[in-house]
Amino acid sequence: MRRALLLVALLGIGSLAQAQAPADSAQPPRRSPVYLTLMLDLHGARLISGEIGNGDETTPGMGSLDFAVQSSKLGGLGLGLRSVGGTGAYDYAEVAVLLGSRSFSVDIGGASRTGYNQLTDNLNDTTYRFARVGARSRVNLGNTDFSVTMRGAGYINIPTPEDELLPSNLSGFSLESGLSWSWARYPLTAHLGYRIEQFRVFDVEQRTRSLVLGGGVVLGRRN
Amino acid sequence: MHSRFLRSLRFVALGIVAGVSAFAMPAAAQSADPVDDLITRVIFDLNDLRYADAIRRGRDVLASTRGMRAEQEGLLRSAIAAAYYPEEAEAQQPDSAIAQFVAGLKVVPDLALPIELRWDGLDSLLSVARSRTLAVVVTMDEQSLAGPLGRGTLSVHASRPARFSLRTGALGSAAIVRQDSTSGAGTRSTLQFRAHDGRDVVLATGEYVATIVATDPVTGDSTVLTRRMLVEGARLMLVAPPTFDSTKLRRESVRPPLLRTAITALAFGSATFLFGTMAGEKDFGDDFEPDGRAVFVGLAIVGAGIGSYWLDKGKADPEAVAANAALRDEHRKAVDAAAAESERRIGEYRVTVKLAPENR
Repeated sequence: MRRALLLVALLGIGSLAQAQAPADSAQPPRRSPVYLTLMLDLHGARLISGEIGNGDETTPGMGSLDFAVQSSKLGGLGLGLRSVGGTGAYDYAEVAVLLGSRSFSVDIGGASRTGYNQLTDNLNDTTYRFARVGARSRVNLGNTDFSVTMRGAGYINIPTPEDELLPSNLSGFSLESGLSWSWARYPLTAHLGYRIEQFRVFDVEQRTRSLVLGGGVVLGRRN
Repeated sequence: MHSRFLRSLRFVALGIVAGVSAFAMPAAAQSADPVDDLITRVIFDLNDLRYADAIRRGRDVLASTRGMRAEQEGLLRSAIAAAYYPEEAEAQQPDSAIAQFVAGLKVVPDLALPIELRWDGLDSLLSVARSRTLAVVVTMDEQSLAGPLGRGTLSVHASRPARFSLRTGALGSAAIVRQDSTSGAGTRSTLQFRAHDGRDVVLATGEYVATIVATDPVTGDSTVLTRRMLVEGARLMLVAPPTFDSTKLRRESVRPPLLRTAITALAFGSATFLFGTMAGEKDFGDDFEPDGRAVFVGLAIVGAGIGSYWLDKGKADPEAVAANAALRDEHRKAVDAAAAESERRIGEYRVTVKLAPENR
């Protein structure tokens, strides 16, 4: 709990520091009407499972495809899509509506993820659908080609008829931060990040810790 | 004896001409000019073969008379030269006669012997004197010059064909302005001068020295003549262009405060480090071991934040750029206005120029 508060405080400080930016009026004309990223990431992941796996750790090969687009003119309304998966790992997909600006937006949507099933006693053979609420941020470091990113969301269980028979008690969250470098001449970007996820069903918890290396296309990075 | 008689008659006639009508002056004025009478008496001495008296009287007239006209002096020196070089060989003093001719040429460059004084020997002596001196006479009326386009003229008259050049310089100053020069040779020419060359004042109120150089292109002989030039006119006051106050310029490049970037990088880096402690290995309790990879990413973020201090070149501030452009434009207009006003004043710059009288 203390760490969660500390994390919120740190993110608040980071966001507030950007909110004090005095040079907004001096921004050059927007070069792109949208802020768009399309990233292909590789995850150096470690999966740790509690209870059923008795703390077993695996290192599956994982990757993700991440897409986000936000209008620069319509109040930052946007769409986010992400798919994560890999051999020997879970499959995850999300769709999100983004409300806010590129530097800070609320992230609301739904997701599906494979996870543990008490009936089969397997870790990843059942797909769960749930809601997720979070936020994401991308902030330039001054006027350099570097920017820092942060995103996080909590998982909220959506009750189903099956839950009445056998409650899954789904919960979890994902947090990710990173450093991005964008090429000034071309709309290309590279990314170094760190991602954690915690997913819990039937009191069995899976945790993922990943070093994320990626690259892709970015438009409107200076917007 | 007969020829001497005839010469005497010529001298009488010349005396009458010199005293009464030689210079085409009104009769009333001629009789009122005592210099003419004095010259007539010199010629009468010459006529009476009193050469020594003629020389003495003529030199006395030269020494005691001020304001003698050039033509009068030329005639007087011709008469003295004739007295120094009569037809009688025993009375001839050619050097003294030549000296008188040279002095006469300096006031009358085209000095010619009146028919009454002429004889072959004296004509030859005058030619010798002419070949030995390059005399120049300068004349100029009072003139008014306006602006850079206004030109004054100065007439030069030389005893031999020559090229001429004119320089002016303020009295007591080493600065010299080349005003004009002629390319062709002649005994008479006109030289031009100006008071403003379009950039600087050349002639302002005060005394100047006009230097005229005459050069004989055949012999290479040259004569330098200086005359004082008096200039009068209102002082030219130009409008000084305004100086540009660079302290009013704004920074055209804006850099976000370093502290803000540092706080952002530190906050995001610390958050990343915190992530690494939130998913401990095996033990899901509170005793987490931080993930080294999270530390690495967190340090990379903080390092990029620190590095931005050197990497950040700033961002153009359109408002500052526009404000600076307006400031420069305003300054340029002020400079143009000052230049236009100065140009107008230069165009209206007017001076009066005249030569100071010669002491003779």
